[in-house]
Amino acid sequence: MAGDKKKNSLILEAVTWRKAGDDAVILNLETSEYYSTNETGTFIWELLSAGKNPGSIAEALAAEYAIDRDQADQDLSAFLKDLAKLKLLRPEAGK
Amino acid sequence: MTESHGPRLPRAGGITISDKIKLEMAVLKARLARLPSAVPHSIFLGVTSRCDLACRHCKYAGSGPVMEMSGPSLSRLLREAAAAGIPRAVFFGGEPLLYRGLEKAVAAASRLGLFTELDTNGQTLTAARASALAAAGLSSVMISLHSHDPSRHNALSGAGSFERAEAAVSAALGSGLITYVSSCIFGSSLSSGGLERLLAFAKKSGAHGARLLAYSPPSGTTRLPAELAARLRSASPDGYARTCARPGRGGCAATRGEVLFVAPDGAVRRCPYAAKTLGKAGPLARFLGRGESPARFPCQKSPRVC
Repeated sequence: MAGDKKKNSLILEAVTWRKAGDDAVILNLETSEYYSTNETGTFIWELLSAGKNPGSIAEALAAEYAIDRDQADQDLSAFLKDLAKLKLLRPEAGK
Repeated sequence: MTESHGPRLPRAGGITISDKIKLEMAVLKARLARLPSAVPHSIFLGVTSRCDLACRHCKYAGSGPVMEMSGPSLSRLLREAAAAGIPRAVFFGGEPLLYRGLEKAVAAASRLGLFTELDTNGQTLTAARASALAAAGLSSVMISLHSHDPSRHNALSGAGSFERAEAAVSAALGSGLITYVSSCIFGSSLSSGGLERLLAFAKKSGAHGARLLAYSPPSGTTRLPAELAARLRSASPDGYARTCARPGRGGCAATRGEVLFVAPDGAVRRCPYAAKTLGKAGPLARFLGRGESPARFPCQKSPRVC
């Protein structure tokens, strides 16, 4: 079953996904290109699909993986830039 | 934190695969890319020995008593396959469309996260049946069409079988299923150009690919599987057509341990066409990771020639 996606999510309309074990498999329906994430990526992707903003995702990331907030911000920012470049997220997510 | 899996999903002939099935395909490919070597890619489930055709080349035609896989056995096998990490379940026969409760089994497999595929002669695959199977969670269908030439196909499989199979391809495509033409290839197909004409026909029909199996004689051995694999390098450089064997001494999917087959009576074999039975019933885990020598095709009785 495809993962849910809130309307206010940064995830683009043409993108669908499904969890497979610890991974999220993410498919761009327009290009037919697909990607899978590792466990950390899946954690972030699930929060994105729930419509969470980057600030609250970084906070959750820091808590979940016991890292400081600055590190979480940096890791998340790099990940969101990658996802935006791959046309999985709205362009503003990568800025 | 993300990994691209390179090749795009199949698109052919302007036929649309449903978004749901595109996602199932992406999940399958991602899982296959990370699959441990001891885990088969596919479990083939011979749900019934009954068939509504009696193809001249079929090793099962007219042989043995009628056997049906019980519902509880099928449910158990699906659960064990999913638990073992096998990503794909292929419903096989006989003719699986004759199995009562096929849609229910497909739905159960889909709920377990398995990619579900049907290997059928297509004789009763109407648009309504294809839609019902797609709604149950079926992702892909392989439909037997052994020649582009109706008279040649019908000579093997019976009058009118080509026309019904051709209609089944349309029905499957119309239901948004990933659709393959599945063909048994004889030596004459390689020498006469029949292979290339078959592939052109499959593409024209809108099928997303062709899955080819070299004819395996009831006794003795043949180099045909490896010859077919070698020929596809030039006949299908884009990978549209595939076969289980690899060129030269590369073996086949069964010798690599990528496939496991369970017959209706619970007999487990390396593939549906393997001559040797590995064992019967019992937990599926007993049979995992037991690939044979890559020098042997298990569909051939003698291991000498490959």
